[in-house]
Parts: sequence; structure tokens; C-alpha cells
Amino acid sequence: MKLGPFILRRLLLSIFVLIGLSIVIFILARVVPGDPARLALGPRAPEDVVEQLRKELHMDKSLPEQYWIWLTNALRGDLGKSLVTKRPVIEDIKEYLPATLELVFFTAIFMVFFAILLGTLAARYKDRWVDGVIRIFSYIGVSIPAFVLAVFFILIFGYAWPILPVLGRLGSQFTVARVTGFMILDSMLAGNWTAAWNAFTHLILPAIALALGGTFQEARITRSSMVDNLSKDFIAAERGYGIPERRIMFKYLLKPSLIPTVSVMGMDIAATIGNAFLVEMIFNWPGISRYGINAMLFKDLNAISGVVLIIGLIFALTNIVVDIIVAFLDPRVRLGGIRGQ
Amino acid sequence: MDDKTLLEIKDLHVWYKVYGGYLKVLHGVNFLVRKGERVGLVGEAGCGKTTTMKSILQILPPGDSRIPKGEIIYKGKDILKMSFGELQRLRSKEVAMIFQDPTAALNPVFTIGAQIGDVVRYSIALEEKRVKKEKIKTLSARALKEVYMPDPERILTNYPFQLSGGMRQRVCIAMSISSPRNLLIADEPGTSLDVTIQDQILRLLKEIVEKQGTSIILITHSLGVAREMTDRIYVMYAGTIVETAPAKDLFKNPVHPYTRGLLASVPKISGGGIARGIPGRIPDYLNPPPGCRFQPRCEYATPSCQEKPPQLFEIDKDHFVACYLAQR
Repeated sequence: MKLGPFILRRLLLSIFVLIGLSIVIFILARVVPGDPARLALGPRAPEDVVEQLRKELHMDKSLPEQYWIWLTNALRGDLGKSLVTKRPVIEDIKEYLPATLELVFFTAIFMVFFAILLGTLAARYKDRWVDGVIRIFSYIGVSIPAFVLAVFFILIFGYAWPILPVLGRLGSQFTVARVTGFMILDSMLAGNWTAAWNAFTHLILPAIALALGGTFQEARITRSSMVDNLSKDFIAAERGYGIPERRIMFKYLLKPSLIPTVSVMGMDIAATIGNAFLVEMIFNWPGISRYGINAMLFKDLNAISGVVLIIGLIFALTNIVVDIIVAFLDPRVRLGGIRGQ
Repeated sequence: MDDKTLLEIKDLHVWYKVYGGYLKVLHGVNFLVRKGERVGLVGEAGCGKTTTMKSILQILPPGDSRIPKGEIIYKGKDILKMSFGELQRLRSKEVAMIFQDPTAALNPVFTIGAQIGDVVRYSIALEEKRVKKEKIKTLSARALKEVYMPDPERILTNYPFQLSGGMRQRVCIAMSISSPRNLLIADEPGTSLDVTIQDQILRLLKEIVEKQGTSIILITHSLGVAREMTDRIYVMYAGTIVETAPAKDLFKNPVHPYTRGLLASVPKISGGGIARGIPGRIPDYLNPPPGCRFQPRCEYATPSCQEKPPQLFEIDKDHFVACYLAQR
């Protein structure tokens, strides 16, 4: 498999996926009862003003026509105006997306590191106390929703034992010029290292709250696929040739065992972008997820379509990245086809 | 035990932990390999051949198996009491095992070169702290040449799935002989391959063993292969050795009812219809039958067979049988 054509093919494919997704969400947003124009202007606005806004939103036209107008505009980078913020949706996304991406980035690092570490430990000490403790925490971690954890974290680290900041992205004593929208990066660019550290401490709790469920789920997947591979003949053979135990664990066992973990992890990380809503609400995190939910509640048609499109795009890109990692781990995928048997 | 003995297994018991108890698979296995000897081990599927062999290298599934009783003495030392360092030395320099299914025995996500390379590295790592990459590559390619692999340099960069079944088995053999060993264990080395390839693999093994003077244990369920390839044969049934004799003697004068049944169940090309076979199946290892493990299937069984398992009894030079029939 050549990487270039592979990525190109996947990108082309994801364009179709995105078009399909946008059609579905476009129709869904419009068939839900409630008049967006009326909602935006309030119950006391005169009827002719509301009618005027409906026209501006092209709501007097048929659905296919509306979609066509939206699509041609979107291709030019114009996602329309938000009814709530009264700004172009693309500007809103530019403002809110980096905050969520920053959060998801650290969530992902936490997930990857701890899922693999805990999974490996649990497999190495299968049926011993280490495995048991990790198993109990897994059940707890998987069954507690992220927003409950978020509330717990605020109670514990915000009030009972205030060692970490629990609200917003940066302490109010700092002002950092916005360049990329990524707070830590912007602070570093400004050379303000204390602000960067402060921004990082703001990230810790929401990131952990978001990551914990997925981390434990993937630790379980890693464990079971490692345990599965441990009973394979190739591990017995490698042991039999006197290859040291540590090398077998971290080379010959880890690589084939990571394939299922990576597939699930990629999807989990991408899903975090949409699922971050409650955590963003609780930690007062100005992210895209919170923005998207507000858009839904106010039937802010353009904002809904814009957010869904962006999240869909990130999903598609994550998928491609996951496929590349899997291809890197598994030569059978990379080189294609299975000869012989 | 004399100074010619290389490996001696004494009264080996192996249990596997399962839900609801232990599978008592090996029930007092006695087994001897002399220096330079070619030994066959035959028996039907599930009788504990592979378990016996894996316990020599201590590569039974960890945590799920235990050895409640027995000794495995290699060059005068009990493997079961070896330190980890001694065990690693045994694995990397003395004994090597070739598995039944080469597809399962090769790691699917590493190149052949990486896998043979590590086997080579750890077989010399005990003497040389730093092993040069070039040396590993040369030795790996040489091992592949020994097993008549075409274009070894290219094969080293291939992944297992890019090779045919026969080539994979050659790779496994190459790993086992990449450094000189004193004992090779070949666990049905051709069973998962088609007949012509199986033949090639066996001939290759025979050639290597003759050239290097290595002792070999050949596991097979084909009596024909055992007769052609080995000096002495062990017949195993349900975790016990039921009969052992020099290859010629065993075919001329089989004594144990199970051995006789096994010989009778070989289909003959000259006709005579389907062979008779042995009625019944291998016993349940969770609750094995009392006394002789073959007694529920044995047409000569007497009540005394249910009381105590029969011990191996020498009826001729080097010919042992574990059956009360032979002792009478």
C-alpha cells in the first residue's frame, strides 16, 4: 500500500460521507417542530419582521432548494449567520473549536497512555490483585458518566481540596493575545510560561473527566487482546527460543495486541468532541460542543449544520489517521491480501 | 541413567486449570532420549504429546498449568528446578522446538528477519554482550540457506503471510537450527501442510539431524513416518506412555492393546477396506477413569485394570509395556 493514494482515496470517500451527513442533518434540523425565525426574534416580534427573517433564511423555498443554497455557500466557506450570536457561523467555529480541540488533545494523550499502560499491567498480572484492582476501576470508570465525574472533580478539587482550577481556560490574572486559539500555544508564543502552565492546569480536570470512561474501556480491550495473544503459539515459540520476557511483552505481544485498541480508541477520541458538551458546561469551557448544543436548543439552523459538518469532518480525518496507524501496526493491512493460508 | 542419556522425563504429571477443576492431562509420563538418538512419539490427538514437549521448555501457558509431580532431567539437571538464567540458557542454546502449525508459530506482525534475528541474537547474547547487526543478518541468512530457502536476503524482509505454508515451516526450522542445538523437538512438523510438502519437510529434518548429529524427538500421529524417521518409538495414550520399543520391534511385536489397535487402524493402500480403528474416545481429563486409562476402551480389560494404573514393564531389551497383559 502506498500511503499517498491511500489517503487520497480515503479523503475522496469521506467527501461523500460528509455530503450524506449534511443532507441528513439539514433535513432533521428542519423537520423538528418549531419556527426558527420566531424562536430567534421572540414571541413579541411583529409577524412581518418574522416573515422577513424567514425569507432571509430561504425558508420560503423548498427543502432541496434550501439545501442547494446552503451547500454552494458552504463550499465557498460561508456557513451562514448564526441566529443566536448574530455572527457568521464560521467565525463562531473559529472561536470555539480550538478550545475543544485543545481539550480533546489532552484527553487523547491521557487515554492512549493510561489505556495501554493499565491494559498491559492487567494482562501481565492476569488474575492477580493488580488485574483485580484495574478491573474494579474499569467497571466504575465505564459506568460513571463523564459529567458526574466532572461534578465530583469540582467538589473535590474545587471546594474540598482546592489544588486545581475548575472553571474556564485561564486564570483571570492573565491576558494572552489570541493567535491560534489554543491557549497553551498562544501563551508560549507570547513567551508567557506561567500563563501556559496555568492554562495547562485548567485542562487537567476536564480532560481526565472526559477521558476516564474510554481509558478504562480501552484498557479492558488491550488486556483481553493481550491475554488472547499470550496463549498463541508464537508467544510460546518466542519464549521457547529464550527471548527475554520483557522483550516478548513490549515487542512481540504489544504490537499485535494494540490493533483492536487503536480502532476503538480512534472512534472514542473523535466522539469526545461531540460528547464533551456536559463537561464543557460544568467546567465553563467555551468549546464547540457547548456551542452546538445551544444551537440545537434554539433551532439555530446554520449553526447546527456548521457544527455537525465540522464534527463530521474531524470524525472522517480521525478515521483516516486510525487506518494509517492500523496499517503501520499490521503488515497484512499495509501490504494487502493474505497469500498461502 | 547412563552417560549416554540426554533427557529423561520421570513420572511427569501436568494439570491444566479450567472452570470447575483441573484437567489431569499428563499422568506419569516416562520418557528417555539418548545422545544422537531419533525418538518418535505417537498417539492420537489430545493425548498429551505437545503438553509433554512444551513442559521440557517450560512454555506451557503460564498461570493455567501446573506440574504437581515429576522430574525433567536434562544433562543431569532437573529443568523444573532450574533458575531462570539456566532455563534461558537451555532455551537459547540446548533445546529448540518446531511447532505443528507454522502459521500460528510465527508472529504475524513482524518480519521473518526480525524474528530469526532475535533468536540468533539471544543464542549468542550470553557470550557476547554486544552483537553486531551485520553478524545477526549473516547468521539469519545462513540459517535460511540451510533449509534451502531461495533468496534468503529477500525472505528476511518478508512477513509470514507473504510466504507459503511450506516456506513458513522452513523458516521455523531455520530458527531452531540457527545456532547448533543438542535436542530438536519437532511437533508434527508437517501435519498442517499438504502431503508432498510434508514429505519435503520431513526429509529436510532428517538431513539436518544426520548432518549435525542432533538428537530429535519427532511427534507424529503417523506410524509410517515414525517407522521411517526414528530409532525408537514411544506410544502415548491419554497422558501416559503405554509402550516403547525400538522402531523395528514395535512393528514386529506390538504388545499393548492400544498399540495393536493403532497399527490396525492404519489404512492400507493395497485394499481391505476401511481400517478397524479403536472404538471409543480419549477419556475426560476432568474425571479420568480409575486405574489404567485405556481400560474403558480395552477389549481385554479385567476388573484389576480399574484398581491401579499399570507400570512400564520390560518384556525385551528396550521394549517396555504398561499393561497387565504383558506381565502375566
